[in-house]
Amino acid sequence: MTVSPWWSAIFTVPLVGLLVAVVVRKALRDRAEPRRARRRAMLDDALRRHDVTPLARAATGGLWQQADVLAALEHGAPADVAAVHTALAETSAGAHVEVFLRAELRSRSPSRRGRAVLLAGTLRLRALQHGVARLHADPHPDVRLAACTALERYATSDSARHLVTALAAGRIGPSRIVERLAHPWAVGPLLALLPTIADGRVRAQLHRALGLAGDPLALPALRLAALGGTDEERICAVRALGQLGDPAAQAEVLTSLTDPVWEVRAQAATAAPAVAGAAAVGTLRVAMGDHAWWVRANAADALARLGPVGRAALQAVASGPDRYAAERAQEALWTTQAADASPPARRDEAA
Amino acid sequence: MHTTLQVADVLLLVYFVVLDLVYGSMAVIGWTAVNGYVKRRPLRDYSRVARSSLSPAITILVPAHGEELTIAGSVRGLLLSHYPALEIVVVNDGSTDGTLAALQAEFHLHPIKRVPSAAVECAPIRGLYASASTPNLTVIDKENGGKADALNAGLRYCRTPLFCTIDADTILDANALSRIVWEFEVNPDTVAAGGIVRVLNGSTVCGGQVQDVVTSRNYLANLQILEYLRAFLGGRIAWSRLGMLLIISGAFGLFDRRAVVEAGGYDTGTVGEDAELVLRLHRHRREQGRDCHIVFFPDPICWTEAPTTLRVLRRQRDRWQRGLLEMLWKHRGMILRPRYGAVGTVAMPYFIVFEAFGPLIEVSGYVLFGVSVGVGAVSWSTALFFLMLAVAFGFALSYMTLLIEERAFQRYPSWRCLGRLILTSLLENLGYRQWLALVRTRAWWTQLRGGAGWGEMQRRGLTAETLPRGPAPDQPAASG
Repeated sequence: MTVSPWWSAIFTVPLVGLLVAVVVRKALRDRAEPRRARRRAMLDDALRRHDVTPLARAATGGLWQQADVLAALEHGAPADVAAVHTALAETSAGAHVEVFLRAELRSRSPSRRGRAVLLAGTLRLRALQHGVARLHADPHPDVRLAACTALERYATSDSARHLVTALAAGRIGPSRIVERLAHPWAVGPLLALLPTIADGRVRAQLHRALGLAGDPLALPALRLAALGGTDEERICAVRALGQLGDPAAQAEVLTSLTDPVWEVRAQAATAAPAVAGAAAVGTLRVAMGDHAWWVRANAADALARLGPVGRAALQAVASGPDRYAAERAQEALWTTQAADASPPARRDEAA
Repeated sequence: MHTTLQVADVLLLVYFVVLDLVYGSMAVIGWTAVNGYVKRRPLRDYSRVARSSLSPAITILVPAHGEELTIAGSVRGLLLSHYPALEIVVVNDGSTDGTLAALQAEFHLHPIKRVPSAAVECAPIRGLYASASTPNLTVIDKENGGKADALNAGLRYCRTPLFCTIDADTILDANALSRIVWEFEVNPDTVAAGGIVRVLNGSTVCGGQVQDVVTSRNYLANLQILEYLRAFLGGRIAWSRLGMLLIISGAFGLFDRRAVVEAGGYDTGTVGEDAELVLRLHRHRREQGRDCHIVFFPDPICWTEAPTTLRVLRRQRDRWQRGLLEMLWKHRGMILRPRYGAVGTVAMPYFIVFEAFGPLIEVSGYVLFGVSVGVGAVSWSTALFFLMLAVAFGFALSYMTLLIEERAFQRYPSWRCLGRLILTSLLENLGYRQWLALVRTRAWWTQLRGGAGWGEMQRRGLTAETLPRGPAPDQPAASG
């Protein structure tokens, strides 16, 4: 069994090739970093001068050029970015970018599709909005999420509608879409869409978005859903009412503390201090005896947040006969007392 | 005699060629995956996850045993994480030193009562403490029961949908959590995700965060830097891409709390509780007919100090090998069962043949080849050729890993570091690899005799001086 040593060349050549590739890669990398820094500075400067030519050139360039345009626009001053949007819409450079990105949206490469989607949204290229919306159902999750980010940047009724469609498709975590819908511009379109949506789970997520947007316009719809929606809708609507903190919803929140579904009761317990204030103490005290762990936990935390009147209720529960309620009340009291006992400087630092 | 030896040599060569092909394929898959990630990275807005009120809350579980010198600094480092909803639960696992006292002094602990949120068994709890200065810190003081038991104690009191496990002496990148949680956000079926663990030795730590990343002056540490890079960038990323990831390092992993509680928490009867849990999650979810998405994600980083003496390294690798053997033995019922998908039919057989038995076969191969050359069954030139082939393939894998690192992460920015790593790759294949095979072979013997527990990990660099003390650390300190 003998093998000629000349065969060693077969593995020596690829080995040397790999070693050279490592060294070359590092050298290229070292050269690329200062170049990118210069380009970023140039783009920032162009943005300040509302000069769209360098931005358009970089937007139709390679991976890192496009990434730098996105970074410049995302971190630029809003007034400068708005001026760039206007300038792009009026110049031939804008038209060129649009043609380029339209082709890129159909690229086979997920990274190119994704970058095109983000650029179209960040540059607010209205003509591409439909193409962008199509990609919320892209096979690649990063592109789907990028499409949702782009739709958020368009900030139009149409983009809100497309985001709701993405929510209904269920291919992205709902929280990531809800946070993109939780803006004042989306409240009107969402309220208009709510009655047309048959799926209770989607309506529930829209209630979350309405709560986070914090617009009082959403109050009637949320009050209605808190008492009459599906289980999931009631959970989200009650939470949203707590985020709005409008005393007009007091009846709905306190009624929800006796809802048959424990998740609704748990959310109502959390929402009660913001909506009902001290008027919620009695109902929360009853909720401390709930059979569900989270309802007891949230009710105890809520009472602790209500100040002296809430703490008095907790003390009463802590010395009461219900062992589970007493344990939770004691825990909440311990936590509150500890926070009070901590040195003021430390409390500030923690805050 | 000659024919028998020659047949055995050929079988061994076939085994090593298949193994090298598998490793090579893994490296290529790793390159493809990382390359795709680099191109898609601009699409991911991690900073948004880091500031969104809708990001899922995370509890970091920190099991601590005998960490008096480092624990306060470690917790301070964790508090620097850029994540909106974070709770840190330190579990003092019956330390006989001043671990609890150090935490009490630094964070003004006071006893609290807390109702367990999950029915996970653990050794008796001696007390629970909250911090007056840091509202999101809880300390559980319990009787000693081992790392798995400490994690179970933390799980028992964990209230967030996700929990992250790290070792008490590791440093988490400030952005690591917002990056790793991305995997849970884009795929609702994700039950666990692991991040890359890098070797800290040699780098500069400032304010609980790694600032200046360099290789170490200690070549044993550098050998492990290369080894970790190859294991994570060449191995785990490929297994993850193929949907067959069996190991998430105990030093850094993020888990769906409900999925882990349903699977019964950590197994306290094994030294490889991290890998065992991952395999059990695969098993449990598939037996329930549910999807199980377990991924490795190379960007979130956790730094750990690697052993710098052969004695400590031997203990660590002995434990890892025994953990692997225990895990495979415990879940042997999954092997080649289509019910468990590619995990049962591909990954587990691979781990048995190439990872569990690999060191035995490698050591046998060296002996057999030596005998064959001695009795003239194989010529010197042939033996030399195959030795060179094996060494060259080892170099190639190391260079491939360095190429992936340079393409994607560039955590070692200086030419000196690259030079050291290239030099290290030479040493690795000429002595270190063979020594590791012997250590792992010895682990079989230890395991068959009934195991030897965890052993002691002696740390040198990651001391109280290198980790932050007090609220505003400003003095850099070197470690390693």
